[in-house]
Amino acid sequence: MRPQGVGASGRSTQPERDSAFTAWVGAHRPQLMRTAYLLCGDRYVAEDLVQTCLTRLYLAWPRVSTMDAPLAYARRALVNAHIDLTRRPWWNRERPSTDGQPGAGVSVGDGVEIVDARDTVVSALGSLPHGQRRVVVLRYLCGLTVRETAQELGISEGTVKSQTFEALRSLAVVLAAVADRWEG
Amino acid sequence: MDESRITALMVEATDEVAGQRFDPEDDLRRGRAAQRRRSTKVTAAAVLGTAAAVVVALALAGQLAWRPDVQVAGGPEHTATTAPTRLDTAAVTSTTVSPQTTSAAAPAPGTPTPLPGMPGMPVGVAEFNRLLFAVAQDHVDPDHTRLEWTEGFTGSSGGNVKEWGRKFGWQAPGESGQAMLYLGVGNIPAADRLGCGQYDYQGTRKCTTATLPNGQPAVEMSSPTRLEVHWSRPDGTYVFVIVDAVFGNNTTVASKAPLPTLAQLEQLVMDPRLVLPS
Repeated sequence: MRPQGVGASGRSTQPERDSAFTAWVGAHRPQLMRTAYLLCGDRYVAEDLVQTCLTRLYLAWPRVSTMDAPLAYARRALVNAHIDLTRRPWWNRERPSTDGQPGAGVSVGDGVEIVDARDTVVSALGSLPHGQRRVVVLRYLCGLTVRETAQELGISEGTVKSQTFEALRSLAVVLAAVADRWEG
Repeated sequence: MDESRITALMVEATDEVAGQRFDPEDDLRRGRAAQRRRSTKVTAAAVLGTAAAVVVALALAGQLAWRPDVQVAGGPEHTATTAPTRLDTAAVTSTTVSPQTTSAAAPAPGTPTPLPGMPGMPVGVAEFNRLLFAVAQDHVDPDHTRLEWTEGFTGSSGGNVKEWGRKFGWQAPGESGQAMLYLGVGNIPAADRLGCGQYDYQGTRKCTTATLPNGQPAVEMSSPTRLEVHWSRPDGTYVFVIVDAVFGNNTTVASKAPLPTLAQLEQLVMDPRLVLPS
């Protein structure tokens, strides 16, 4: 079976490539948005990260489309884009505003508590160091194993375990309270 | 808190951003634009790289041509151990005929043919080369069995200041090795030209001052594999002859034929026909 976007000649034509890419984006963009949003804590920055990631993915598509898991490539591109972003000198000076955030300004009826809970989760993740945040997002949102997380982040499995432990200890109180509220 | 609950919380927290409407065509357009930018960059880099390579090649070619002591083509070349002259001149160099091709491609020794025109070659150099060859033959190879005609020009030319010379092969019939006889005439100031032992010489033999049979001072070197005579004439012009057992342009094998003697070379540089063309 030929990989997506690869023609009969073994090389994809431009229309085939574009068609396959568009289909892949339609299927996986929401997942990338979730990941990006939890990584950066800002809806608009998350959109930028995903766009950057997908642009890189398109450029590499002839090669990536033959992989077993293009999503892994895209996820790594996303994490790298986030790393690039956090290394910029102005990153720590410009804090995202809550205006326009999902749920911001919503104060009607029963939804308020849920919105607050979502904000709490995002804020709690935002309080973690970047490294711990990436580990937690990849492990619990993307469902990667310790080994896969280590490979995607280019760190050792021991580091993944220790960062996971530290992150969960920091998040435990907050997330437990949120979970209780949602389930209550 | 177990892992599934953490995952559920994260999914819940991101439901809204994940549910945003989007158009994959937008991502496709951005991808295409990035592809075009990359193609443009690659093309520009290729063009710039090619241009840079051409500039470097031209600069190197200009540098080689600027050096009067460099023979561009031919076989293995000795590495010059001296700095190039400071004379701002344009030089023309060309290949010499290898021993193997001499008999087939060049006329027999003693019967030089007119040289084809070479771009940048000073007017009259062909005739001057024939003069050099004839004069050298008269002094070191009267039997016309050793000295071999070579085509081309070695030297520099810039306005009224120039050095014209020619390297000729020296070998016994049938031998694989080849020696060199380099005869030149010039008017480059002493400070700007290569003196005795400075042209393509790796040895340790020192040059010494000597007196020519005509009573004029000269600088000479004499060893079993290298002979040099440099005569600076009172009128500011000079003549030099260098004999090396290995003609580095054509071969790495030394000639087994006996080299000309120092006395023959002294007579050669004193030949009154060696006058620099105006």
